[in-house]
Amino acid sequence: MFPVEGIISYTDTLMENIRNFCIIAHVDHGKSTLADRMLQLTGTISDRDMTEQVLDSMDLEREKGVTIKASAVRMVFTAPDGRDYEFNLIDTPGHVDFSYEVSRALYACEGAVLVIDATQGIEAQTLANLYLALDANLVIIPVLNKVDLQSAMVEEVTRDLVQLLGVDKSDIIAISAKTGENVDLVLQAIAERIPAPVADKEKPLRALVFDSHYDSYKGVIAYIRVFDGKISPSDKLKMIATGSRIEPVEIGVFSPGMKPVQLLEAGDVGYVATGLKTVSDCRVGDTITHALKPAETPLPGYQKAKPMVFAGVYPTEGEDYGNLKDALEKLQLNDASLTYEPETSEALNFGFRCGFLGLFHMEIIQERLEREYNLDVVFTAPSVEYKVDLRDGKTIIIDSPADLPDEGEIVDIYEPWMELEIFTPTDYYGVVMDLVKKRRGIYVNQDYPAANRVQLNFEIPLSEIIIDFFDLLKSSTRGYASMDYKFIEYRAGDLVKLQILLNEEPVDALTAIVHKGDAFHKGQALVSKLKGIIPSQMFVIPIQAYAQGRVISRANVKALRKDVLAKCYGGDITRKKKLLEKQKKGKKRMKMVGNVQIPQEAFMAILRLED
Amino acid sequence: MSAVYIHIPFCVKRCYYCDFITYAGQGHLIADYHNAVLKELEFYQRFVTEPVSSLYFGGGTPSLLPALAVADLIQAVELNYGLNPNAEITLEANPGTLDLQKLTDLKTAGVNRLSIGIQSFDNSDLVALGRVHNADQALEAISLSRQAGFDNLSLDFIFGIPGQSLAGWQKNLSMAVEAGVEHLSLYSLILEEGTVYACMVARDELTLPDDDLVADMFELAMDYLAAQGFQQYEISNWSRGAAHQSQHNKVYWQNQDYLGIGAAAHGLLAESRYNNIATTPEYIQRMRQTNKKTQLSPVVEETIPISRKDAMQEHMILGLRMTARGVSASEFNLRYGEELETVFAGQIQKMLALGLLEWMDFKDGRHLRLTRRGIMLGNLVFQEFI
Repeated sequence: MFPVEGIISYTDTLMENIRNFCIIAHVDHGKSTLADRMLQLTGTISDRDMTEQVLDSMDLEREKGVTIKASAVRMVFTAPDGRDYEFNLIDTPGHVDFSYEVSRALYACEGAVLVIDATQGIEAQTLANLYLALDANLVIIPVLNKVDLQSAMVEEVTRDLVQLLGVDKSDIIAISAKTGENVDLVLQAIAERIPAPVADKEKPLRALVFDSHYDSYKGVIAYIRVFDGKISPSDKLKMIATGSRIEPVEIGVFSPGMKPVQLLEAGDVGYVATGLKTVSDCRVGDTITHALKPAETPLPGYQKAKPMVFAGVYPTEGEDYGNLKDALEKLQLNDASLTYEPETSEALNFGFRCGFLGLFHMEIIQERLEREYNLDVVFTAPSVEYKVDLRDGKTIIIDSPADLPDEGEIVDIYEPWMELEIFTPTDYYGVVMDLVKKRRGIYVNQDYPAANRVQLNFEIPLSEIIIDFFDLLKSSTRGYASMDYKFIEYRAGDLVKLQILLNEEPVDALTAIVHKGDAFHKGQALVSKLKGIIPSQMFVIPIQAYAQGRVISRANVKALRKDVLAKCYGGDITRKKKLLEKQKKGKKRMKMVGNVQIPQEAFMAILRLED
Repeated sequence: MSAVYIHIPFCVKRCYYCDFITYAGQGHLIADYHNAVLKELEFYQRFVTEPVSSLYFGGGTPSLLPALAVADLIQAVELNYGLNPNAEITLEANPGTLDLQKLTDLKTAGVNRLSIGIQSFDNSDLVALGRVHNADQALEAISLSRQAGFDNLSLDFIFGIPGQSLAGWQKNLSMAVEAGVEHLSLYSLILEEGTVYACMVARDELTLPDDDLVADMFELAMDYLAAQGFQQYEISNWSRGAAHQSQHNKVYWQNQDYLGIGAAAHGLLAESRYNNIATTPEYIQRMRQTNKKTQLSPVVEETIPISRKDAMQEHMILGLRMTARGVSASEFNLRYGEELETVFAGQIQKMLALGLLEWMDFKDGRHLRLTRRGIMLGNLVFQEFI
């Protein structure tokens, strides 16, 4: 936590002096750096205690340069006219997988600082979040960052912003968050342009939960924006949607560490330490009210988190099953959108079927399991959730391709379709069109929100974009295109089960559901990929791809002929033994299916078919 | 204790594939190094209770030492520990560092076995390996050694050299047989980290031969040399008759104690493996400052105690390298007080079933050894025992 020393103490701030705002930016456009400068300029954190990017407190966040969990911080800004303002900066996650969380954080604000990297220009994600901000009726302060860099395209990006926002050129503030240049002007603009919250302290309490985290001493900490009424630490509270009862352990504000206060009232941003045991009892978007004198209606916009992408997660070492279960439980305490349930695979034994908001969310969970919990895990290729109409009139829902019944029993398979927005320089129009078409995407319309930039709108099956689509989009547009997506509906598709047989045995964890037209080439690509991944073993291993009742591709892994240390003399023994131990350990990390050893990366092979 | 290894960490030039502890361009240190080795030999005097039966000068390039220096070191061994009159005294020698006078002097000094780093008789192989000698010098080194009176010669070869063909390898084998030597060591080229080769492969400047070709070369050597009357008594070693097996190296494979002397040398003593400090100047410095009475060698960098379990594991992975005799069940029992078939019951059963190990009857009972497939896939077997 942060040192308390040197933090300004709070007096009651008049509601007219409160400014609640967030910063909207694309990954790497400098949001965290700007936030850091604001904290320094307002004296919220002394220069001495400044660690880079205070808001991104997870190691992973700092490394990826992305905010994964939202955060909030209170600052006191003294304007040039001597007036003291209470600034509440609400940080938002910067990725499409978390657009619901973003929308709730925005709803807690009256204004947004829109940061655009002057060397990169406007990107799809910025636009997506900007539209969310406009939906929430926020006042936008456009800021052009990194103007100190040689490659900054100040004029061009300024022109784009004027066109996009319909603002005057003089409304745009050119800064360098890195050097601190003009950051004071941003602070002044926040005070001047963003309105004070409009709220009624006398109404029954309504506070929006815009984020939460789990604290092992105080239970779930709900990050809240109070819209109506007030909270004191002794109040009995409840969540309207989940019905959870709360007797607060404490209430307080972030400055930037947690600092208890005696009162939070309409307009304020702060926290309630709820004592609840898991974040799923205290979901983002829910409304906190008084248990005894509840508000009649909740604040609008609450949705239950719904995972879209599913994958099997298995411990490499069977004995780690219990540890994996504990780790998932702990992660879920902090992450209501992560789901898991036990799953058994013939190939991978005991593990869990996990649900994620998207591929990025899945990657984060994978890395946290590995780094924070020191677990060696195998993730199977991600899948979406399918609805399957059966001949006997039943409809089943499956999220694991291996569960798809025999073709003869199926009437129709339905898969989730998404609305996909791609924002790209017009030069890559054709490239993007081709890529989307190859993935069964349907063109809807287009828009030119800025000069030389086009926004293309498509409809596309989710299964086509969870696997390597984003990487391909980036590489085929030299990193310029960006994308955003959201769910539309389930649609029937011509889908078939693609199975892989190793040594004549089907391997459940390598099963995929693919479009009929793709089965042949995907089967072939998968077989040749696996041939490269599966190491030679004592005997020849046939690999077969099988779909619609026939083998569509086949290859053999050659038998291992020679594997022996040539030299082993007096000086080598300890070293050679270590080498053998390493070799043995590598083998132990592989999964045994029948008598075939399969490296973990084989289970992700389907992700990289187009390499 | 009856085996002593002395490491000579000097070379004319480092070869592309080499990751041994050796230094080129430090010739000026040879005299100081010599004195430091003398001191270390003296240090171990109280630990050695029986005369030395095998002495081995390895490197590096021990033949870079003046013959007088070698004589002096042999004398020091005899003085400090005693030297068995039938002791095998081997010196590793590289073509290009030898002339008749020097070879004669080495013979007179007491060296009775030479291990010559031929590597190949093909000049393009030698260039590819970064060796300093050529094919003519290689042949000359053999004939000069004979002239000097050496009757126990071993030649080192490498196969799987970039650009080498199966026919090229066959030619090397034929020439080695024609040379009429007593012993051959044939090593499949291994890409070691930190070598010039590893660097070239990483930069795509070098392609190693494919696994099938290397396997073919190994099998060719096994078949051809067997037909020519050589016995493969270890995975990479062949001799004409048991008498010409390397007595010194068998000490390692039978997991017996040995003294390692010199910079970067390793030893096995009193149920511990130890290794000396690797850098030559520091080795010299520490030896120079040492006080005779210290209990611990001043140049030992690390000591690893070997538990009984470690010892049994190492006994297997070393013993099974001896492809002809393997591991004797009765010797194992005598040494560790437990039955080989009990300690490693599961491992043995599994490897027998896979056809990688076999039992053979010897005079002292059953020996466990690698099958032909087991020789090719030795690592799969060794891994089972650790």
